[in-house]
Amino acid sequence: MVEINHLNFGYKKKKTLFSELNLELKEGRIYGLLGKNGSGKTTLLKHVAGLLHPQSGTVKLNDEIPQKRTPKVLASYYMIPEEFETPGITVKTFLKVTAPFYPDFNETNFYEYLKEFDIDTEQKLSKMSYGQKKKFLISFGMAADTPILITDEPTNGLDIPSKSIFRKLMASALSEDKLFVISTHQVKDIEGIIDTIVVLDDGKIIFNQSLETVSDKLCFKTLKNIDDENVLYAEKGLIGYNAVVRNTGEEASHINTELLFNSIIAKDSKVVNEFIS
Amino acid sequence: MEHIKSFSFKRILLLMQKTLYENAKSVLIGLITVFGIFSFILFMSALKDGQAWSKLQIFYYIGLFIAGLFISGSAFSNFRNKEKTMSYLTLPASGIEKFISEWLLTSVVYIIAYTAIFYAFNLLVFIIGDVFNIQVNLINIFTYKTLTMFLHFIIIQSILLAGAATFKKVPLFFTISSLFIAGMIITFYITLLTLSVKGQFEAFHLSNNGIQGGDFNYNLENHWLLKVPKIMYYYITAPVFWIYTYFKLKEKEA
Repeated sequence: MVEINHLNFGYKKKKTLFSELNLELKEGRIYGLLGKNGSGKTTLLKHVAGLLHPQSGTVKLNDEIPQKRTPKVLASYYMIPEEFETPGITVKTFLKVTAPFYPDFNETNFYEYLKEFDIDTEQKLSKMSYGQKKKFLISFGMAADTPILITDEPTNGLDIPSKSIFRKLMASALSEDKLFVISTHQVKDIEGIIDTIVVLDDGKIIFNQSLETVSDKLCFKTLKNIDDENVLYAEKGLIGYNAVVRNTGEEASHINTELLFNSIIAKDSKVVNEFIS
Repeated sequence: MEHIKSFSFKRILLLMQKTLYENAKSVLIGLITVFGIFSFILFMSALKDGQAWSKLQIFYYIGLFIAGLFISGSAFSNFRNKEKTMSYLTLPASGIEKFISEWLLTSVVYIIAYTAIFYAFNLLVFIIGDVFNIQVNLINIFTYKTLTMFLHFIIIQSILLAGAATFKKVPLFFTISSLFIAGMIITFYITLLTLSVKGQFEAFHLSNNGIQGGDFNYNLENHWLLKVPKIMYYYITAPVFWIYTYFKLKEKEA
């Protein structure tokens, strides 16, 4: 479990990014951490990974403080960053020198994931393209089999078939004792795999709801007019309005993640108010 | 997940293995450069009088310090950019394990490996010298002088290791520059002292027994003023810089 309590942080002392931020992430779920560019997603993930020290407040991973960077806490998560540099060694050598640090590393799964992504194991990591490196890191991160997997913009640089392989692998790798966090601003890429949406805007968690709750409270419809008071948010589409509507009659609809995200970050969001009240 | 110890020698070995594999190319290039320069000097000497062939012990010391200080100055290479720092800091090993592995690699392992390679080089030079009738001696590292050299190396290396953990860019240059500035400040301070005592500037140098100048020789052999710097150099410098490096590593952010 990830627990963040009263987190205060700013890169400059006078300019605060997080002020009294609280967040709890539980096992058995894939969280989609969404937010616009510069909203603080990467900074939040770095706190979870113990790479940044809070000015005040606490971050805990399964009751351990990640900032202490003990081998136990470091082996409890794997972080796939957005930007990374790989050494000039082959996939096999990387496996030989890095996998032993992760006690539950599953070599069979690793090679299966690489096969799915069509990555050559004899190739040098430094010679790979950005997308290939990303696929390699995703494979390694998932095979590390750590209780927590943190991914920052994992679909950046992936081609369309790889994005769908990524979604398939992530969904299949989740178990009751694991927690995945996918941070992205490309909302469409993670549609169908996340089960909880966390939206970070201007350093604040403005939305943290499971898709089940979203589905209970909201409906996603295409409407010809939006005069109805139950319409909480609407965007003009090709054949009318794509709208987020209050679910008044236990109606089931496909959640349009992009529309939901836009409705959440809209000024004076009625959708956010709907979950507060 | 199995129980994970907070300190493990196995992890230190794994860290050393990882560093060696990832930096094998640069280490190889460095060794080829050093021994290439030695070979070139020996070749040039053979064309002249061949005297350099009998001074391999000096080659050994020069190589030990130059290559060793370059290697130590480029330790913690993962801190040179944000992306590498991130993967290094999140690698499941404690700060003390990461520090010990870098220290072992750049001091103990380096000295053993360099000496072994130098012996092989020495043997090769010996065989070639025999063919061309040039006198070559096999070096002896088990002398008081060589062991003292190792001690000096470990002390200076601790400063470079601290520099490597502190400066993001060209740490070797910035560490040596910092040392140079510190040396300048000390020299300036002593110059002012001699000025206040003698009433004029005097050229001076530090000797084993004290401070010597043109017409003065302050024998400080048993004076605390000379004992303190010696004690500081031999017993305090390295541990202080090791502790500093460890804390630098612990506080690092990405």
